[in-house]
Amino acid sequence: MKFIPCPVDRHLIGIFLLVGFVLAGCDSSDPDVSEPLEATLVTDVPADPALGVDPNTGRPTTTGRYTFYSLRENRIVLRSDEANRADSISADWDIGFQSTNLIFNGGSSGMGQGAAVIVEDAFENVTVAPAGDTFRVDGQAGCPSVFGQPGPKRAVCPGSGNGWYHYDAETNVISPIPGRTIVVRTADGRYAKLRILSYYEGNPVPEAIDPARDVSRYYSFEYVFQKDGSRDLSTR
Amino acid sequence: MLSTVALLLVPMARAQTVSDDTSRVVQMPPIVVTATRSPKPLEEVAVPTTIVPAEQIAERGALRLSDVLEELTGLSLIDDHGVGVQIQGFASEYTLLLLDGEPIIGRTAGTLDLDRISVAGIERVEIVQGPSSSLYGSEALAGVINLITHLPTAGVTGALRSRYGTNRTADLTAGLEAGTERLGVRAFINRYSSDGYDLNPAAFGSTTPRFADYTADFRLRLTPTSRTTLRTGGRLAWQHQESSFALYDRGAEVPHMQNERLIDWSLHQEVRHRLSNWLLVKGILYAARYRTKTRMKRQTDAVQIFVDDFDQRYGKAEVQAHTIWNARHLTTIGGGFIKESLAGNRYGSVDPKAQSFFVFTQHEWVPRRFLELNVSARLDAHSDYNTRLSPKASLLLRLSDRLRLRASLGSGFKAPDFRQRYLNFTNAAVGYSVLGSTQFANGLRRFQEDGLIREVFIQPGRLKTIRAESSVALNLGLSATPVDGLRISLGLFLNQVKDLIETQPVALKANGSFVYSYFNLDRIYTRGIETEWMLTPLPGLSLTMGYQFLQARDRDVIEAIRGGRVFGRDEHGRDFRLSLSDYGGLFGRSTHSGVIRLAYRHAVRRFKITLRGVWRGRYGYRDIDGNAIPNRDDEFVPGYVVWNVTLTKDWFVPLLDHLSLQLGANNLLGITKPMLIPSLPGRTVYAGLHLYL
Repeated sequence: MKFIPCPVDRHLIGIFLLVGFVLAGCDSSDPDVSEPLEATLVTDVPADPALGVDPNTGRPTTTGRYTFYSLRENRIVLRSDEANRADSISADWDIGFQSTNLIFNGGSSGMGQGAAVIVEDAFENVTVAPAGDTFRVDGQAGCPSVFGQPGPKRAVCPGSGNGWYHYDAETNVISPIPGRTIVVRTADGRYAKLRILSYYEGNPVPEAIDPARDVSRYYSFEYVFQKDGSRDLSTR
Repeated sequence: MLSTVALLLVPMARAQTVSDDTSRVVQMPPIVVTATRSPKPLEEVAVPTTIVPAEQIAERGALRLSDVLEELTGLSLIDDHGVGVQIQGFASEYTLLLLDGEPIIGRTAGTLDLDRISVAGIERVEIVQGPSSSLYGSEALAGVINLITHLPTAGVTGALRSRYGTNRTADLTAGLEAGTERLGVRAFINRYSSDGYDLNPAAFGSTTPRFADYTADFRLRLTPTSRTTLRTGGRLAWQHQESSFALYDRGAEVPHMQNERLIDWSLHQEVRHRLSNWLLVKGILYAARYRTKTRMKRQTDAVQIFVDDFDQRYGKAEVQAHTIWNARHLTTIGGGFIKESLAGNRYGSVDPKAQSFFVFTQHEWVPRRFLELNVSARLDAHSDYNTRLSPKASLLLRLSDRLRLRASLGSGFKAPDFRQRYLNFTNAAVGYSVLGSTQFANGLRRFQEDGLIREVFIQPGRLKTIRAESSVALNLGLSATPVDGLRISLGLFLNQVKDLIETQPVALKANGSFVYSYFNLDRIYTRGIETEWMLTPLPGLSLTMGYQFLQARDRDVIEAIRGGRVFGRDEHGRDFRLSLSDYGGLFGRSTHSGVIRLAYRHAVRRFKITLRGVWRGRYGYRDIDGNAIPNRDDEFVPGYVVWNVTLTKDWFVPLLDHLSLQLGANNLLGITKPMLIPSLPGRTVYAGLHLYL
């Protein structure tokens, strides 16, 4: 049994629950008192999918805009096809999706405390959010240098094999890399872990994906959000 | 060694006659030229070398180079933008293909389509495994395949060969040869056509389209004096094919047509002069051109949606000298100049041009009767990438008449190819761009000026120039005749390869796609064992069994697996850590493969039967679970065996030299894998009639 200090910012939790925690020695891993964390499945979050085809070039038309998602409330805050971008400057969203790019509400991407770190382990094995200084903030954390050149500054590095996905040049399929768990610090400083399942509409099984037929830039993912503000991300 | 000296000194036409006789005179050993760039008996060559003579090409019913190579131990054919050959676990772009010692050009995505190359008029195919860059420079990293044409001999002969079979596949060759001691000419024309086939009728379009392919070939030999030989060779090939395929517009099938025209030619001029009994000089001029025109049309409204033209030119001038110091020492030196140029839609408005020069030297030394040593080195200096020095050393140990040991240590390299150097391509459908290493700085600046770039990851200014991919390889082998009627060969190989070129994103575009360029990134190794057993229990009957064990692996992947950083995702979506035993190696490589060949030749009744089985063990073909390596069962093609059979009967007929009838069937069990191996039709049968004048 290990003890962790009581989080101080637990203002949302009711008194009787707080008493219960105190009686249990603040041990969030105690099965009797802490709420078991459940993984939430989210399908088909649009990430700037093609709106149509440019009649002149034959190229799909896209906007370059992000879809902003709140992990805390499990909802889309602003869709990429929404032209009015007012909601993007807020602490309401935690993660943004555009094409294969992920941004987090902090640093150069937003006004919140958002950050992320990729843990190289299976989703269910990531039971604790890493220490604060390992989190990477957009616009601050450099990606691995290539040939002496500093890489881009992103929480989740872009490019095939560098971040969350692999691009297969033979089949033109973008697949999430297994064993890459994205631990997210939300805009308000709490923690979640997230695993991307698919980049294609309808969350098809990976062996059935045909990039000529399946529509890309639709994220399906599962995540676990720890609302009590602790680093505990274990699920039972 | 004596034989080498002797072979170098005889005038070319006569040397040719000598090797011509191999089919009739049993004592005469087969001669190869590829391993040392001079004629040498196959048995005395210190590097792993295979030879397929014309007689075997004919009796196996082979029409294209792919038919010849697929039935050889240690070689595998791979479908990737055409049919390519894998040697010692390397993709086909690492094997140099030669016609009479000069490079055949025209690759698509690295593959030189072996179905393009007719083996009509070929006297023998020589295959040298292991790096040969110390003699041939770039591309000779995995090996060299050299098609040796038959030199025109004295007398007049003619041949008319025809064949027809399944899928209305037809092959017609007409050839004529005439010559005296001093002058000989030979010409043939070949037409190869097929209606193609459709292995998956549910999908729109055929698996292999209808095509017609023509090859015209001309060779001339002039021997003005006994010291001088002049030879001229020319080849022209053209191909046309039309296919239909479907693109998808938001799930709906849109039928399209593709029209492809291909034309390539090569001209080869060579003069050999024996200055004295110890010095032979050679001069070679070679030019080649390869052009393709591809058009894609939407069938509904005939709108042309894609145009791609490609035009590659290659020119080479080379001189060589062979010096025989005495019966124990032979030195070869050579040097030359290569010019290449390119034009095409994918290469921007400026047509790329490149020059390189090279010098090479080789010394063969026989310190003892049982020992031969060979050292060689070549320097290649190129305008677009780093200068390369490629050394190699090999030795042959004749322990007895029945046992020979071979060892060679050498380096190979492959120059960055045209794509990697010059590509300037933007994918219209998806919007990403790829810039070759020489186009990177200017291309990125132009994109920036046009406001297309959101973020630059790598500033081009301080990048190192791209390097050639390079390898160091060790080959060990033995050949033995433990008892009469049994020949065994065994070989071990290890190739350590670095600086393999891969794409990396260099910038993010405003449309969310990336700009890619090429970098020296990957390190791999390939290693394996190869063995062949040939039994001749009765006169005319032979049984050959070959097997290869191969491991071709990415060293960075192995490090990542050892570090616990590589996972798989199973059928239930659960991620699990992989161990080294889960790693299926590089895609397209079979750990186990083999061939079996049974041949029976009846000398009196003049008939031959051959039965060949080609076994490919399972190999990884694609990644499904996102870790970029084959590990799940559904990421592998299960192993399979393809059986081919031919029956050939010869008759003497009045007025003709002879007539021969051939019946054959390929892929007897009718194995098909429409998506994975589209070049493998089901069972096909054919009949051929050959007339020789």
